[in-house]
Amino acid sequence: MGALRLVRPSSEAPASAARPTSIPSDEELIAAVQRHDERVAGLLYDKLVDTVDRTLWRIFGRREHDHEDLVQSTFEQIVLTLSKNKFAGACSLTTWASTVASHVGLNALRSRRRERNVIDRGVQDADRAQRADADVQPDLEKLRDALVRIDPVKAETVVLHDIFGHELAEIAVLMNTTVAAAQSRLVRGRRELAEQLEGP
Amino acid sequence: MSESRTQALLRKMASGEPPPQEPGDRDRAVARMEKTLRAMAKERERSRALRIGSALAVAAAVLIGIGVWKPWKPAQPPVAATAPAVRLAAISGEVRVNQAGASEGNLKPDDRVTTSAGGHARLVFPSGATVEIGPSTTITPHIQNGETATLDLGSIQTHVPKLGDKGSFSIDTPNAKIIVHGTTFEIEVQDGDPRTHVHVTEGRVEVASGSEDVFLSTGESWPTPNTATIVPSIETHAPTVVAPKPKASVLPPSALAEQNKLLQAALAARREGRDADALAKLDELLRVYPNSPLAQEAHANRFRALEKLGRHADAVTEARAYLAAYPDGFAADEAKALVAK
Repeated sequence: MGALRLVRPSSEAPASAARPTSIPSDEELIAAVQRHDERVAGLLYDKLVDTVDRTLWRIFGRREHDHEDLVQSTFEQIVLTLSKNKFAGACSLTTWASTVASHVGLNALRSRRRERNVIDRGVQDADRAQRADADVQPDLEKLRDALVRIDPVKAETVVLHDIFGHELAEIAVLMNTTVAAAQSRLVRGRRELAEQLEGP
Repeated sequence: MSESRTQALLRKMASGEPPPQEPGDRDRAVARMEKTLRAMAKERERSRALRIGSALAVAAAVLIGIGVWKPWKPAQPPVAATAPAVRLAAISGEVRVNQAGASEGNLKPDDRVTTSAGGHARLVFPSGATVEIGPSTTITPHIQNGETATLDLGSIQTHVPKLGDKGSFSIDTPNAKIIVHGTTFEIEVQDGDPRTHVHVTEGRVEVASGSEDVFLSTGESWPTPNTATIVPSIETHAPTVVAPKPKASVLPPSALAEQNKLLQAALAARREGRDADALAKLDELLRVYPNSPLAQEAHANRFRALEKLGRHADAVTEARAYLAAYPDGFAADEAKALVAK
């Protein structure tokens, strides 16, 4: 493994010029996090921010008012997990980061849907109209409602497979389970989702 | 709503790309990551210091042991113990310490406090952290490697002042560890599932359960309501699933297990580049269980394997069949691309 080259952005230089000329590998980034080398934070952010942003955008259908907070929470979880050496390393950092972001996003969606009961309806409708997927409302809203009502493990499996396109074998690795269990969760999750969407 | 309609919606949710991002608050995010890394580094240093301390303690014990063999010397007058202690206060109702009636004052190490149905009490730690003990609760405070308490059952409300870099405060429950850095929060441990509930009133706590680590901020709870499960790890771990069983199962579990086995074998064969073997397993799955809930995955993997084997015409036929059966399926775009090739 080569040495990690870390470049601290200069305050005068434009952001693009501050990026390192050679992009460190996943292994180098992980090793730096495990050494608790603070300088890796910016590199990790630059490498993964597009994936994290896109994942959260898909889950919510837009960038919510606290989008930046969710991005930060995702990165905090990424750093925490990597530094505790709990990342199995069986897939790329980018793939794994999308899983972390979808987990954070689904949790936030779940807690937001609980709060919705006390939010003014008119504000919600205005919010919905701004969504990128406003043309297929309210069906996608119902889908999001259903996703947070079903078992979270199954919901995450369905999201990883049917929305983010991960294969079952990959999901099994990401969720540290067997392919058979991932299949079972997917099948049951889809069924529970359909049942929820049929309900009142 | 049918499963195919659900699939169509999922695909809609998966489609599209986010609009260009406005310059995000990169600095804040990076600063937060750096802070987490610093905290982790300090934690590591602390653990290292504790290990060294433990080694020194062992060495000291050995030296004391050797000292026992030295000639007897007159005993020195005992020195009053000055070790910090946890104080029991604000007792109301029936409260017991190690099965005996409790009175206010300092507790001895490993004293266990139990409140009855109407009992309340307060634990005051040397750092100033307080634990309000609710009714029907059993808790054991410790001062060892930081301030901790083991909550076996019941509910507590905890207020922890800012502890600084050297202090630490945590609560252990049967299935979680709640680590605090200056905050107010409530914990309830029940007999059922999930056993532990945490709610943060103010500040921020870390909950570790199994290999899961979650940070909770003001107003947040763990586990999330409507969740009968310890949510899966952000990193990778096996979740402890205690969720209710689905209302109905289309197939007996044994049949589903057999189908899982066949698909799993096919996927493993594909991963290893044995596409002909994969195809055989997929054919078997679809022949024996034509209405399998895994049929969609099997068909998708079948056209992938055929294409990989260089049987393009067969792959296109299979992709067309897939599109006819699952026009909104998860692999519809892939099938369309193959047909158009």
